[in-house]
Parts: sequence; C-alpha cells; structure tokens
Amino acid sequence: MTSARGTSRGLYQNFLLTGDNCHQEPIHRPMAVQGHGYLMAFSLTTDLPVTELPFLHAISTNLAHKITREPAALWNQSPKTWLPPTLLQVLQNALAGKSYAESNGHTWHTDDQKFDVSYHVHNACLIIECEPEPETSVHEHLVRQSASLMQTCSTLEKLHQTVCAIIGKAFEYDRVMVYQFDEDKHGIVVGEFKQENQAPFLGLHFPESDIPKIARDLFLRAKSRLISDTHIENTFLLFNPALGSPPPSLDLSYSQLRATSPIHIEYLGNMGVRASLTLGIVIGGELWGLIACHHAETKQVMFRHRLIGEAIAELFGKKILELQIAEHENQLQRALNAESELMDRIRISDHYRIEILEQTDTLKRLCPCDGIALITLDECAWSEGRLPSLAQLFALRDWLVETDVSHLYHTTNVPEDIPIAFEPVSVVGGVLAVCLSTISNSYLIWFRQPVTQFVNWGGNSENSYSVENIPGSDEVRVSPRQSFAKWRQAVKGQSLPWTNADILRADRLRDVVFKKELLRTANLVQRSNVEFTSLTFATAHDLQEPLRTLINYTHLLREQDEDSDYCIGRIENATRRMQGLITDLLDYANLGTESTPGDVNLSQLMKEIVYDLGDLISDRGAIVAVAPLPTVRGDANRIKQMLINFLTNAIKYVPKNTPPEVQFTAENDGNFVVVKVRDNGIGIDKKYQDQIFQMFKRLHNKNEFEGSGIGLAICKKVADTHEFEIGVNSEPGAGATFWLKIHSSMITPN
Amino acid sequence: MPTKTQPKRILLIDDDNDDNFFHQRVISKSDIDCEIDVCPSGEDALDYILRRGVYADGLPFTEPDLIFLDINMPLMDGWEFLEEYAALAESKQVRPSKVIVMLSNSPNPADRKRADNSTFLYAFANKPLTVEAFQNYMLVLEDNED
Repeated sequence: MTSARGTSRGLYQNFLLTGDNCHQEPIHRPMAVQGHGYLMAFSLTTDLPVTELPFLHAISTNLAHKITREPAALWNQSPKTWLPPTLLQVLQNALAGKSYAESNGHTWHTDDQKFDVSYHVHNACLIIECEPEPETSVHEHLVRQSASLMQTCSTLEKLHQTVCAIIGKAFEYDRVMVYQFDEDKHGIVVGEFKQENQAPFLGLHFPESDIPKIARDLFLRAKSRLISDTHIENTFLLFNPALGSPPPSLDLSYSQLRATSPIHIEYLGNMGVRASLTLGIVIGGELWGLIACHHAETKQVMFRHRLIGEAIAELFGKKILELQIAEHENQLQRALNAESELMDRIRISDHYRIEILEQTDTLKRLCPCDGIALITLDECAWSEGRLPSLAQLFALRDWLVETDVSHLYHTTNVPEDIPIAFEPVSVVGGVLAVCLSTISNSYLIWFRQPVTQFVNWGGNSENSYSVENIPGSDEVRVSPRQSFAKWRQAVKGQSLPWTNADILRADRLRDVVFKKELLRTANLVQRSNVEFTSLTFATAHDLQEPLRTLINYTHLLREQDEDSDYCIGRIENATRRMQGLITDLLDYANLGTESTPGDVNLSQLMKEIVYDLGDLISDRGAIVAVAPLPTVRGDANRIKQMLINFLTNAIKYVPKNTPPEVQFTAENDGNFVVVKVRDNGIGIDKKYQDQIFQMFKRLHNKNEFEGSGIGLAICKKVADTHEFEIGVNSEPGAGATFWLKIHSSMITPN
Repeated sequence: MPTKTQPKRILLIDDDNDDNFFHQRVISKSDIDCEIDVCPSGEDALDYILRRGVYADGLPFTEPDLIFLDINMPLMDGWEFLEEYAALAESKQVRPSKVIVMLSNSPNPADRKRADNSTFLYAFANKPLTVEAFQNYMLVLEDNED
C-alpha cells in the first residue's frame, strides 16, 4: 500500500493531515517505513498470553514477502524457525544485551544485495533494521582530519565553512549547510558547501515551519536522520493480529527507516533534493541547529558512517561553544582595556559632566551610535548627532524616571517600547540609556536610527504552505512552497541591535559615574554644613561691629559731649554698613534655593544691568563697554547678580579721581567660551588672587573702600553651580580682569 | 631710663576709625598721662615699630608701653601681626611692650583659646575698652616696672 503524494492517508494511526494540523503531525509513529529497507519489531515484554518471548510485534511488508509466501504464518512461529541465520544471530546478540557498538555491525547477504543490519531497543521493543549497503563509501581519511581542522578555526564563520567542507567532501553530498536556529526558531544558513552550478543558500532565512517543532524535538533523541531516496514508495508495517485491530502504533523515533512526512518529501522535491542526511547539533541540551546535507541523486550512508557524522556534529557543537565563550571574553577584555582611560579621567575630575562631554569620541566608540545625549536635571541637555528635539529629550528622561530606570535600559524598537511620539519619526529607532545619578535624574543616552533591515528568506516566508482539496474526497493536500528563490523582506522601524559589548561598556561607565556622583553629593553636604557654621560665626561677628559703633555714638549723643552732627553722621554710616551686609548675606543665602534655569542672553542682560546702574555709572563718570556676549544655559537672576557684582567692583576699586573704565568681552578657547570683565582699577596682589573669592575676605579697610566681602563669594558660588570656571588676572596698579570659562555645552547657539 | 613721671606711650592698632575714636576718648577720660599713636593696619604698625616707610624720620623713638591690638583687620589680621612682632622680639630687633591687649568683637571661643596659649599677649578683651579696664592695665604696667 502506498499513499498518494502530499496526503497522509493511512500513514498515521488516528491522524489525518489537514491544513491546520501540520504542526501536530505524529512523524515519530508512522505505520510505514521507507521501501528500500526492511524492518522487524520484537516485543520484549507483554501483557498478552503468549508462549514465548520475544514475539514478533510488527514486520515491514516487503520483508515478510521476502521471507515467506505466507506472512500470516510468521505470527505464531518462533523466530528461530523462520529468521535467516544472520538475522537470527543479530536477534540473539541483542537479547544477550550486546550493544550495537559491541557487536560491530552485521552484513546480511541475500541473493542480490548486501544489507547493513542495525538494531535498537525502545519502549521495550527491539527493532531490527536492514539497509542496503551503498556502493560508495565515506572518505574516512577526510573524516580523521576533522578534529584538527576544526581546531584551527578561530572564528565561528570559518568553523561553519570548515565543517560543511569536511562533510561535503567526505560524504560526497552536493550541498552541506550549517543551519542555525534563532530565538523564534527560524533558521539561518550560516555555513555552506556546494557545487559550482548551484545557487547559494548562504545567508538565507527559512521560516520555523520548515523544520517544525515535532521534527526539532526528534533531533534531540535521534541525532541523525537519513532519507536515501525521496522517490521510493513506502512499505507498510504488518502488525501481529494478537495486538488487536486496529493495532497500536509503533514508536519509531530511533528508527532510521521510518517513513518521512509527505510534506517534507514534497518540500525536498521542490528544492531539487532526492536524498538528505541531517545531523542535529545539540549545545547545552538544546538544539542549536542542524547540519543539512542535500543530494540531487539518491544516496545511502551506512549506519556506522552516520555515527561518525553524529560524532563530528558533537565535536562541532563543543567547538561552537568554545568560540562563543572566547569571543565573549575578548569583548570583556576589550571593554576593560579601551575604556579605562576614560574612567580614570572621570574619576579624578571634579566636573565629571564636562569630562564626559569632552570625550565624545570615546563615548561614541564605546557604543557605536548615531547620536548621544547627556541630560541632567532641567538645566542642561547636551546632545550631539542625529537626535530628537530638546523637549523630547526631556520627555524621554521623564519617562525613564517614571518607569524607575535607575540602572540601565535598552531597546531596538522605540516605536513599540517607548510611548513618546518622536519627531521626525525617522530619527529614533533604538535607545541605550544609563542612569548616572538618581539624585539629579541624570541620564546618558545613546541613540540609533531605525534601519530598514533586509532579511533574506528562502522563498516567501508568508506562504510556507498551500492547502488544496483533493477532488472526490474529504482529504486535503498540503504542499510546501515551490519557490526557494531569495525573497527579501524589509523589516522597518527597528535599529541595529545593541551588542553585549555595547551594554557592558555602558554599564561600566554608569558604575563609575554613579559612584562618583554619590561621593560628590556626600562631600557637598558635608561642606555645606561646615560652611554654614563658619558663616554663622562670621556673620554675627561682622554685624556686631557696626552695631557696637551705633551704641557707642548713641551714648555720646546722650552725653552731649561731642559734636552731634559728627556723631549722627557716624551713626548713619554704621547703619548703612549693616544694611549692606544683611542685603549681601540674603543674596548669598538665596543662592541655596532652587534655581529656574533657562536661556540667558548675556548681551541682553548687560543692557539691563547698565540701565539699572545708570545713576552709579554716571555719578562716577564710568565708561562701560560691552562686546557681543553668548547666550548661556542657567538662572538669569543669579547670573545677573554675578555680573552686577563684577561691574560694581570694577567701578568701586579705582584710585581716587580716576574714572572707571570697564570692558565686557567674550572669546573662544577650544571647547570653551571665556567671558572677561576688564577694569582699570587698583589691581590685586598675586598672593591674594585666590583668597578674594572667599567669604568676608576684604583687602582694604573700611576707610578706603566700603564693602562686605561677600560680593565675590557670591560670584564664585553662582559660577560653581553653573559649572563655570572663575578666576582673575591682575597686577597691582594695572587693573584686573575677572574671567568666566564656560563649556560649549552650556552655550545656546543663537 | 623711663621714670614714673614720663607719659606712657600707647599704640592703637585698628582699622576702624570709630573704634579708634572711642578708644582715644576713653584713654583721655582716664586722667592718666598718655601719648597715643594710631596705626590703621598691621603693616603700618610694623613700619611704625621698625621706623621704616613713612615713619623713617630719624627722630628719637620710644617703643610703646602698651599696645591695643584689633583682631579683625583686612590683609594682616591681629594674629598675623602678633606673629611678626614676636619674631622681631625673638631676634632682639624690638623690645616688646609689657602689656599687649587684644581687642575683639567676637566671642569666638577659638580666639580666646588661642589667646590663652600666647606668651606675648597679656589679655584678651571685648570691645569697647572701658575707662576702668584701661586704668587696670596701667596699674599692671606700673607694677611690672618695679
């Protein structure tokens, strides 16, 4: 009995193939075997009342007819009476417990052919199979080289090609492929050996349904599968009537001769393949992939040579694992080496943010990307490359905070994973973000554009099967696709994936910065406490002085002992000093409150300042010149405060009868812009140039110049919080130039 | 050799005009015969003692008997002046005054402690200087001369 092509009629017990149940086809228990070989199954145990064990469970029709003219007679007679001597020997060896390896194979000679005999035991059933010996053999010397050849491969690519070549040449198959499963169990051809005139399958993807789960699972059990001729018709099994009718099916998972799924037969036919050998590659208990050998003509491979193939596949699997581990370690080592310099610089620098920004090239090499952004609080988002707008960057940061990303986050599919409508849509495909500080909600984010990736399928993956009704019956014919021509599918919207190396490096960077930020914050708190204490003392002290003066002169007035005008004048002076001091202190204290960052146009700000201080300027005959100044990122009020202090100082500290001249300028210096305030005043001795930014530090007594000693301390504090560098250049008697060094990331381009 | 009838020389070292005004007033109200000099800064006071700078007039000079020293002055504060003065005394360049009193606005305990440890300071007092306090210092001065 045979089955019509494409249908499964009669092939399986209790199962008929339809369009919907392909994936459930019970390929491990067909009721037939391939017609070129013979199969016998003996039960070793039974519940049935039989006289002798083992008893014949099933026999392929072709063998039954070869042995006797009356197959029905076989059931009742002991196998000793009807088995050919060689096969009887095999049976006795098997019953004696000898494994196949121990018994080293048997050859059964019949009139016209030699058969290679093998056997196995499964489910208390001894199955003996006879396969015709092939005319050609395997080139064993090539096989012997396989281990050393594989050992010389340092990359996976080379390994795959080598294994295909070894097997192709040794076993003489037209085409040998290494077929690797991806996460979804679609297959990719990652290595290939083929004849010159054949179209390559290397690089093509094949859908999961080509090697369905039922087939994949079988490879975990029987590691090789031989189909020697797709044209040969199957021969059905005859079952011992004592087993009942219909007989229970026989588990042929480990059988080499079991009949092949009709869908697969047609699939091979569509590919132009008449014979195939498939070896499973198992790594870590899972099916990593297959070595698939195809031949245009019929080809038989002996059992012991299949075992050699299985051994090569096993060695191959081990080598794959070894290379994967080695590559991972290489990545680790490269990550450790290449980025250590960046880490060191960040560690020793006070302003890690600026350090990071100065190292954009290294950052981009860290994780190849199309754009990179650093977002800290609301004050500054610095970005470079192809990126969404500033507002969207902040929205992204807010989303990261909301979803509690305190460590690391990555995706290659932003449209699906992140609920922000980035515009333009074509800008953001993948994102890798690390949290640098949970205190200031700072993130460093790498961006990748979406790429239109082309996946090359062997044939249109969406049309794996076609189903048609067979006229005149309720059966359907399920056909796999006919065309394996390369079919390109454009997968849009995702970016190239972040490799383990990318993520590892980003994580290390985050680690260093995160710890540094914690330390810095702790230091800041401690410094604040110390500052507060000393400030309190100093303030009390500095207030008491004018207060005492007040009291003293009040006493004098009361005693009416001195010139009252003079006394009142001194009282006014003292109270003014107190007011000045308190105002300045309040200004300083305000610097500790929350700031409102924005874009501050310094030129505009200077216009306001010059207007506000108009009276002072004209009273002193001062000349104030303001060159074009940049727009910076910061708190407008505080920066105004700082500039006012610079200007008033410049106006104040001039020699007598000298009109003050002040110039505000800005110039470029590498990645920085330096804003300078130059005056023609009395200058500052070198030894005091560092001290003058300290709180209450004054260089002159009250008779020469009035002042609380807080003005420059305020300037320094504002500069520090904005991450500007501040300093002064001066010679006594030759004026002074106060300067602010501002990093380009804080400059808003006009 | 100074006699008791000669007027005592007092040096005020303080940058605050008002304080100097008050202290001079207090001293004159004490009915003790004194001559008072005022130096508005530590630097200036060193010039005065060493007879250099604006004070290099070649005229005969008697070192002050009593110095009132303010702590809180810009550039060189009271402590810094004291250090310089002590160094000069060690090297015998000046004859140190018997009584040096440091005057202060602040009750900062660190300052008081530092004063206690100083061998040169006689006393550490709060401003303002009172007539009574001044008279006491003068008595001490006379006692030491015996």
